[in-house]
Order: sequence, then structure tokens, then C-alpha cells
Amino acid sequence: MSLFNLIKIEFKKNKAMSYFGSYIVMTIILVFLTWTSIFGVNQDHETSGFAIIKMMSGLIADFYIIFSALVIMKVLNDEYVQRTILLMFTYGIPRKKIIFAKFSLIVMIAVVGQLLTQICCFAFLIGVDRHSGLINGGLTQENTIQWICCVAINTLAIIGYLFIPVTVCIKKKTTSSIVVSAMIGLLIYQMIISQIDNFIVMTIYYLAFAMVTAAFYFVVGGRYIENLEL
Amino acid sequence: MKELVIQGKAVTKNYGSFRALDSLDISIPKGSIYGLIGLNGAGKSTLLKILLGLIKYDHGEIRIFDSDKLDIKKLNKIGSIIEYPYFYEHLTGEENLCIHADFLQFTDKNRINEIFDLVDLSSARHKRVREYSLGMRQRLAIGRAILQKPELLILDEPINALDPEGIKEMRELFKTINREYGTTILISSHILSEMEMMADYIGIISDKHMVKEMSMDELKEVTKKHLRIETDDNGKAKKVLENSGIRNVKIEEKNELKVYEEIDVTEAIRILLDNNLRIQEIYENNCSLEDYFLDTVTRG
Repeated sequence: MSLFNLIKIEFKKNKAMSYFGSYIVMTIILVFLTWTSIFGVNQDHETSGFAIIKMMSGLIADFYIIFSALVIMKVLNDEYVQRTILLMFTYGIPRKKIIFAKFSLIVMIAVVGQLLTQICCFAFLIGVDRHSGLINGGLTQENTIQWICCVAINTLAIIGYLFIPVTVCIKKKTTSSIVVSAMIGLLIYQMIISQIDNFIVMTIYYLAFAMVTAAFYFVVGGRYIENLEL
Repeated sequence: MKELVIQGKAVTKNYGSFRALDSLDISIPKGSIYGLIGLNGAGKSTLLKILLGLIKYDHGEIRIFDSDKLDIKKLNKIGSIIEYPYFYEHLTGEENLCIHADFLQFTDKNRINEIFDLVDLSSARHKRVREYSLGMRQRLAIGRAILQKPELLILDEPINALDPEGIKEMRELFKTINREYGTTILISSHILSEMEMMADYIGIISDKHMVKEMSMDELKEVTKKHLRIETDDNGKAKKVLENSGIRNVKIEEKNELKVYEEIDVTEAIRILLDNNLRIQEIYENNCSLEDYFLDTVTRG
């Protein structure tokens, strides 16, 4: 069975469409927080477009990093807790493929949500700028390119981060371990994004981060997927 | 020599220093219903998980479908219930079966309707599984296991929570599946009376290894009502009894003399004593599978 078909079945099984409700709630909260952050950033910057965009997109990534930990609990951890994993592993489908399909669904849910919220919040910023001129120096075309770069880097960061709690879930199979690993991933993400403004350097850092976490998933996670007794 | 679907030799499984299976042998003929019986902790569930490839064994050999490697594609030929009937609780009974069919790439949706009728759950198909009783879950699990008409069914205590009517229905269903589809069924159960009514072969597991494997015909022979006589010369005792008109006299394993017909015990004693035989023991045996099982696991 193809990976695409497996993802489709997982989508149906987990009623993934229902996550749109969560997207709407988070977007509303993040639009509000974006609005609030304009005033804070304006106090410290003469031209605040890039700072607001960086803060906004970082905050959105933070929310979706935490949100994706909840998704991991539902999509993956529940299979181990409810023991339906015993059923899954009696299908004529390689175990690693089954788990990777779940991982792909989790990535999809987190990334799609993040993108939708980023678009909504940026559209809100544009609206605020046009109608009230609240942003110091206004939004420029360069800010739009900066926003696109922030979104791309945050997407890369979220995908890289997700390997950590997924692998921890496969190994430990507990909610608390997923939460702790999510917090660690969040801290690593925040450390990088808060200290570096250069997009090329950020990209290199997050790419390296993603490669390390992917190796962690394939080596450690792979071992625990094949051996249920561990 | 009957074709075997499952053949295991000296299968051993350890969890650290704890031995879960100890040189276990098993042979399951194709097209049969094989009852696996044993006390709690004997190793039944461990064996079933090994057969399904869920856990690995440490030593020995297992052949399934005439191969020593459980090819992943062969898993689709096997239906199973392991440990407990696990389902996706947030989904309805029908949704659970549809998801199962999707994973098996099984496209016959009419079969799902047929399954709900077979397991008598049509009225509950649109209810979420979290609202099901244990009996309903077991029925649904059986339905799920037989969805794709598998060649081999491995069932771990599938009827424990059913009422007597449900047990009878499932027994008839298993027999029908076995007869009409030729499905080999390996079923573990504590309900020994059901095994007696359903199984063609039984395997008794005790203390992590197989102590006895026999056909139901052989079991019926062994558990048939008989007189067991212990003398100082069982060979001579057999001849003496046969000469006096008692036909159904046999010397069986462990040199045990058994008489399988209704006789006057006093008369038998008199005949033996008249022929200078010393009688050490006379015992009338009238045992069921339960008695045989308990006797076997006690003796090990």
C-alpha cells in the first residue's frame, strides 16, 4: 500500500478535518496577540515592520509546536495506550511505513494550520497598517519577502522539531514524555529564532537541527518500532 | 501425513531471566479447528503473539504457511484477536470495520453488512465502540477477524464475555467458517466444554511448554469411561480377561491396563485372583476434558 493511501486512511481514522476548529480558535487568539504585540514593538523600534513580523511568526510557530504535541498524543500515543497498535502491526504493511504515515499526518496538520494562521495574521497586519497606520514606518514590500522567509523557516523548524516528540512517543509511550520533549523542542526553537536575524544563518541552523532530529527518529525510533517489547 | 499450516519446534521465548515459553512444539493441521488450552500464565498469549509476528522468539523454529519467515504479505491471510478486543473508541462499529477493510485493501462493502448480520450487531453498527459492552466488542472483534475470509484465524479467548446463547452462535459460526471456507482456526479458551464441542485437535500448554497434543478422537478414547487395573503382570491379566469374554481390554502408555466396557468389577477381581494375579489398584475412570486437562497439567 502506498504511503499516500496510508496517510488518507489515517486522516479518516483520526477525523483530521475536525482540527480546522482548532485552527480557527488559535488564529483568533494569535490575531489578538499580534495586535497586542504591535504596541510593544513600536515602543522599541522606529521601523517596526520586520520586528513585528518576526515576533508574530515566532509566536505562531510556538503555538503550533505545542499544538502538535497534542496531535501526537491523539494520532500516535493513543495507539499504544489503547493497544490498537497490536492490530496495526498485524496488517501486511511494514511497521515503519505505518508509523511514518502517522508522522506525515502530524506534520501535515501542524504545517497546514501554521500556514493558514500565518496568512490570516499577516493579512490582519496589512489591514491594520492600511487603515490605521499603527506600524512604525509602515509595511513595505521588503517586509513581505521577510514574512515569506519567516514562514518558510518556521515550517522547516516545525518539521525538524516534530521528529523529537514523535521518537520520544514511540520509545516511552507516555503523555508526560511527549510534553517534556515538546518543551525541550520549543526551547531549542526559541533560542535560535530569538538570537539570530539573518535568514541564511537561521536556515542553516534549522536545517542542521532537522537533520539531527531526523537521524534520531530513524535510528532510535526505528529500533522501537520494530521491537514492541522494548 | 496431514499438511500443516503452523509448525513450531522447540520455540523458546525469554523476557530477561523470565522464561515465557520453553521448547514448545506445536503442529496445526490445515483446515482444522485447534483448541489451545492452559492455565493462566502458561504461555498461550505469548505463543499467539509470536505466531502473528508481534514479538520475536529467541530459539527454535516456526513455519507458517510452509515458510520459516512470516512474510508481511502473508499477514493479510490471517485474521486475529489478541489479548482483548481493541478498537478505536471514538469511531462507530461500522467505521472501525471500514478502517480495517481499508488497511487490508479489501473493497467488498457488502461483506461489512454481512458481518454485522453474522455477529448479530446490526442494531449497534452506528454506535460508538466506547458504548459497547464487552460481549458486543468480542462479537465485533470476531467480525473484524473474519472480514476478509482469512486462511488462518488466531483467536485469543474470543468468547469469554459472551452469554450462553452468544457462545453457541459463535461456535456455529466458527464451524461454518471452517467448513465452508476451509479456514484453519487456532483458538485459545478457558471454556473447556466449548473446546470439546468445537475443536478437532487440542493442545495443552502447561508451565511454558506443550505437554499434550492430540486429536479430539484420541481425546475421546482417553477420556472414555473405563476401568484401570494395576496388577503385578498386566500382560497376563489382559489375556486372562479376554479369555473370560471381556473384549475391549487394552494395555496403553505407561503399561496401564484399561477395560473399555461395562463389566462387573467384583467378577473381574475374582477372575484375576483365580489366576494368581496380585491386584495393586482398581480405578474407575469417567473423565471429561476438564478432568483430563487438570490431570495433565498437574502431572506436567
